[in-house]
Amino acid sequence: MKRLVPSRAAPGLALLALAAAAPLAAQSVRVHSTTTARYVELRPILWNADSARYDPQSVQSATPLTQDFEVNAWGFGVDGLRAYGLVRFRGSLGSDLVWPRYGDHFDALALYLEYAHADYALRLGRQQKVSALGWYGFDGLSGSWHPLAQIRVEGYAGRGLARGYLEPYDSKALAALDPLRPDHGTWLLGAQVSARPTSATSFSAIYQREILADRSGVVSERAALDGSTTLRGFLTLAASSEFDIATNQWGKARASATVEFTRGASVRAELFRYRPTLDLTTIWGVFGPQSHTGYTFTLQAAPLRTLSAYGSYTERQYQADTTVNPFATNLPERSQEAAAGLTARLGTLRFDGRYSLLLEYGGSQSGGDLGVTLAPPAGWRVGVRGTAFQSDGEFRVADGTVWGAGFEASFPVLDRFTVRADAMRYVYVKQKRQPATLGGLDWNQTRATLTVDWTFGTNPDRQGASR
Amino acid sequence: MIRARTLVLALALAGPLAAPRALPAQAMPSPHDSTWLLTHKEQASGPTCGFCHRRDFCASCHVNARSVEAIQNLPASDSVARLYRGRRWTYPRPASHAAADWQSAHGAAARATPAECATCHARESCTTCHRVEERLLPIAVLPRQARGGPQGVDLSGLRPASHTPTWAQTHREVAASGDASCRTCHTQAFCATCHDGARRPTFHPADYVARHRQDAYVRSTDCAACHQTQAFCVQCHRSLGAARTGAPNAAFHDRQTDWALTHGRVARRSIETCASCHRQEDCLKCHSVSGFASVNPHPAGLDLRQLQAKNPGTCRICHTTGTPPIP
Repeated sequence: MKRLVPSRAAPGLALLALAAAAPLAAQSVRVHSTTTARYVELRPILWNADSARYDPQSVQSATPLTQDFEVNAWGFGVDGLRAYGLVRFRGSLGSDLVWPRYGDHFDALALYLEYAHADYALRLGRQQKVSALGWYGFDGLSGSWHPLAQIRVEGYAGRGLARGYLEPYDSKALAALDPLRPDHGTWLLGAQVSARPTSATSFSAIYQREILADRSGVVSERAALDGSTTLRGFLTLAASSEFDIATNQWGKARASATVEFTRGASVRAELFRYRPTLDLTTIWGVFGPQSHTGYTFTLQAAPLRTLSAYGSYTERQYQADTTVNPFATNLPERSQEAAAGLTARLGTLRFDGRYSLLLEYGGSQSGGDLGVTLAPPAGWRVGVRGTAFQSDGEFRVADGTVWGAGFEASFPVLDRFTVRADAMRYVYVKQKRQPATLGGLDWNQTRATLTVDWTFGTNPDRQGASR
Repeated sequence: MIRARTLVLALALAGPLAAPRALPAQAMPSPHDSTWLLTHKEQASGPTCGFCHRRDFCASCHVNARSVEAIQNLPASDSVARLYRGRRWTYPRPASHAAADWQSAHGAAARATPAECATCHARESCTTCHRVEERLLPIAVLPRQARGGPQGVDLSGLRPASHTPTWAQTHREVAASGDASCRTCHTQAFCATCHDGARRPTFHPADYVARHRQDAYVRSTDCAACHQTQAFCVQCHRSLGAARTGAPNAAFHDRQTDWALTHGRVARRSIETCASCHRQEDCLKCHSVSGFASVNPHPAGLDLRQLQAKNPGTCRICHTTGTPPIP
């Protein structure tokens, strides 16, 4: 007789059944539905051996369709108990192209039961841990406890999910993309202590370890510290730093100071360090990836109630490469980025624009966006948008200027039912200085999005408010 | 937007129009100037209000009119109710609300005297931001908006001072230090609109599909915070012919025919970009003990012993013939 072996999907299915059943038993259920249909034109390229250049192929389209449901249910007869789910269904309306992840028709971004007490909280199910280490998803249990009103201690553990993918490490989808990935799943566990000694000060420390399920190796082992404080109501200091214990190296770090003046004016200075976070299960980390440091200044002003503007400048300094390689490409060690934006209102008209210039070691890009929107108090909104950008350097296929024009609109059909749509047509104008070998590329493309937002159930929030 | 002064004027004009009786001269109250709206509570319990105003007039602003005795003592009037039905006012701002730290301090005030909030705020005022906290006592005790009744203070579009135009790029530290403050206003679905969005997030400029390359190359944004490099990048790059096309001159590497010899420095600076097109086995063709020329990719100073101790399986990807020698 065949033994019954719990399948790997069993915990997920159980939680799904639980979440589906929970709203039936709950006294209060709120559901937010978002349906998004997109139309994206892209033009593949193909190497032509005869002409020794890349030739554009005919325009192909992708029409990904996404249905998100956010379910919040409470009132099970136990104060503080609720079920939360954020699930996504994906489909396609007849695409020529494979849009990333649209072969995967269902995803649970979050699906858990939560019991919240005044002093502690427990969560069971699929959840995502957000911290200075980034976003990590896992299927498991997390618990938080307030030993004091200002202190929060949290622990979490469970089956790890790939970063940015919400699939186990050993999923078939990931194995198809990278056959050298480990055959085993992972376990994720971590602990965090957060403190908020005053309403204007907070800091936290976190440790997190991710290991292969067969305990044959570590995937990542990291720790981070971060904190922020606001002094005298106008100066905010924030800092964050992470350390890769597995490789014994410092990772990303940021420190910023923001001074807020009256009338919405502020000055912000930030120092940062970037170093990629790479799992030990891949070979990328042993290639010695470099870090870079930099700073950003941001100015913001609102001289009138109807006018606000900002500008920022960023400079990055890359690590000098000491490798002795006579063939290696010499690269500039600095890059610059400048950006500015403006928003103005004139009655029910809103004008907004932004421009950015990137001078990077891999090329440069200059681009801006402009928009005019009519937004009367009735709630509907109609606007036109324009864009233009140039891009050159190493990515020669994008030489030239791309011009774009389109519209966006939003209509609250009912109090809790909103339809939004936007479309843009991009026209690629080739530069005269483009090498003849790269001529003929045509990047003219159309993009459109249609979104329907619908909230129903207990105490639906007001339309237009931040979620 | 109707400002406080305009509101005073409108009420001063509309009130007498609605009054059915002649106004005795001695009953004229002190001037209803711009501060009147915030200070009339003390004088509103007297009998003089009823000379000009009806209950429905007060109830057009006060969302808690049903529980305020002074208002309930006034006579009702259908004609006044019809006149003000569905009107939306802009409420004056009390001095306490102008304090710099009001946004962080208003919770304590609301807990202490929730009835005072109910003068102007309906429950929906609070749930504009506190979308998942409607069960909190200071919010739960507030009356709801009623169809045709007073709407209360409209806080739509209100943003904390910290949410500057570049907030989408700079909120990391605040969000990372514990999501408690974020949860005050946002549910996880809000985060997912960008971090796992079904549409282009607003901080990506238009046509980001064509425009993202420089950002990705220099890591001006942390792409991996939202995108799984192999699954998201490679899938699209391959279907468009931008990755592993088999072309001899590697046009995506500036058509440098010597790219195989010169790419090392670029790869170290932006290894994640390499991984957005290439699989690990592409690199292993050369960078492996069994690959072409067995090119050693390990830079000086890399703690290989530590890496081997943490995950020996990764070493065996390249060093396929037993335990790798460590210098």
